[in-house]
Amino acid sequence: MKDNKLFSAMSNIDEELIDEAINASKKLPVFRITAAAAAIVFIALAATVLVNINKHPNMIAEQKTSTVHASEKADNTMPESKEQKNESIDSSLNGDNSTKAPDTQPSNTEKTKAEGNSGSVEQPTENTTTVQTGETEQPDVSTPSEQTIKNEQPATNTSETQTSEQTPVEPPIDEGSDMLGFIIKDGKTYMQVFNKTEYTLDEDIGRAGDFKGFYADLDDNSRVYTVKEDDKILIVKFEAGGSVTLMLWNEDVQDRMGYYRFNGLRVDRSLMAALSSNDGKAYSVYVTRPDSDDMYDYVYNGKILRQMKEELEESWKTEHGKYNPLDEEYQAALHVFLKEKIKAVYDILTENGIQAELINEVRCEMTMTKEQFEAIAASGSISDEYAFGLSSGGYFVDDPEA
Amino acid sequence: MDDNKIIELYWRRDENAVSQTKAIYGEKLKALAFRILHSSEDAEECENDTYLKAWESIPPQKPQHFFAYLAKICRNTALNMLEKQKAEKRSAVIVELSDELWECLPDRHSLEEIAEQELSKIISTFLKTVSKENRIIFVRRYFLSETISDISKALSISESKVKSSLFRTRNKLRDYLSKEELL
Repeated sequence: MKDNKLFSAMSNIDEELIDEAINASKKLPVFRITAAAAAIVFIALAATVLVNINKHPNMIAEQKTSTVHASEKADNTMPESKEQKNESIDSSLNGDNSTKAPDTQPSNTEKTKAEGNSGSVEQPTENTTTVQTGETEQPDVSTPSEQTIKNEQPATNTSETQTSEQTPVEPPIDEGSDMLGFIIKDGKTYMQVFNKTEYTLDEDIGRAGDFKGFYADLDDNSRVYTVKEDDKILIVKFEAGGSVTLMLWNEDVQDRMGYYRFNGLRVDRSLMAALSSNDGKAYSVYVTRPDSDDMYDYVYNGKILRQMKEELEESWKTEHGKYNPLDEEYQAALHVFLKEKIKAVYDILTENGIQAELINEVRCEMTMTKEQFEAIAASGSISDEYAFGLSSGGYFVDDPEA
Repeated sequence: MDDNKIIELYWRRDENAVSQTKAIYGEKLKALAFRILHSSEDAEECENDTYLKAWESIPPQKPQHFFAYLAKICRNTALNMLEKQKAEKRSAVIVELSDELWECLPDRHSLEEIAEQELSKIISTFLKTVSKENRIIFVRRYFLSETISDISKALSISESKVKSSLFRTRNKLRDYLSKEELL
């Protein structure tokens, strides 16, 4: 309540105090049970002694021994009592969530955010217009009304704003050389920097840095285009909808602290999330590296890793009646699942004379010519596994010996 | 997965960070929001907003007490949502909590001059001066918005003891604020 300053100020008290209060339920009762048990033992001891004194003074020593046993017995029952107590306390602290499946992905929260930010729309600037030009050619994905960047206004009284000036721990940017990728989706702009020094799946998109316009057929029979807007802008477009705009890192982008400011507006960073959550589809990205080797990455033909994992989760739920991602048994099953898929991909590739390497049980890397890829893709028999294998890090070269 | 590993996922911008956070703390956050908003739908929205704000703020933040950090975001978000609602729709529980804290102040215009952040620090400092038990009860009541009954059950103490503890701590807080020349 903002009209009671004390109550509002409670929101920002020290986190250690909150932590102490949250965890108190596990500590205070234990002390109390111990104290209660000690009191019971003491009373029992006293009562026994008193009774025996009345019975016969000579029996005191013997009875003392028996009460020691009683005390030990009481101690042995303690852990159970503590656990029982803690269980009831934990449930009072909002219930057991250990078997809850994580059904919220960032895309869901992004949706919430989009709704929450509906009041603060700013007009795109000159540089975003360049992005919009490319998007307008894909009307099913990005309409003019979507081509606005929502300005983030973090709550002034939340803790995260207090220390937002901390020094970011990220590699330096090579201005004029590192790539910046954009995608506009559901009215939000996602952005990611592709440092040449980093290797991530996303970076492969950035390797279209030679700005050569080209297209490629994807394994879902759609195409991907790259359109050279100018010397600094390249747009990677997907025939099925969506595009990524690549541009050289420049002075318009500031504040690398987990997010970015583009022309003064804060934008989301996770380009990968935007790509993978586009209407439930993921798009293949086919780009050309500056050294002219072809790079095929982030491949999907109906399923990406996450979707395959979700299928496994569903079957797990059906089979076991519950699902917990942290469950060791499930984790073991997931590992076996990945291992089997990767091994299948590896076997098929090597049988087809393709250079492949099992990096570990759940990662396979392969090198092949475009013709080899097309031949395997045309067979149609291994598409899912093949795509999955590629998504784990495969690439083409013009010369397999290279 | 422990808190440090989850925070590491946030720093790596791995979207599993959110699902792991939800798996471990989702119910607690939703319950906290529900105690303030008294609406399952609003509580769920608040919970999702909490994940989003955590996603946006980590990095640069690296919370030492991860759930406490999330709880602060969640509470702030819930109170902001409540603030947007009309006065008549405000949760009766929150009004009750708010009214209890008014007892610390001589009148409703007190503390107008002091910034909220500064007041938070003063309350934190004050709470460190009271006994651990009283401090825990106070935080559970006025931060986590738990009912007297819930606190009583959670800490295995009588409801009357919870009430008297809160009463004493509120009085001490009033004295403390007076001593700090804030009243």
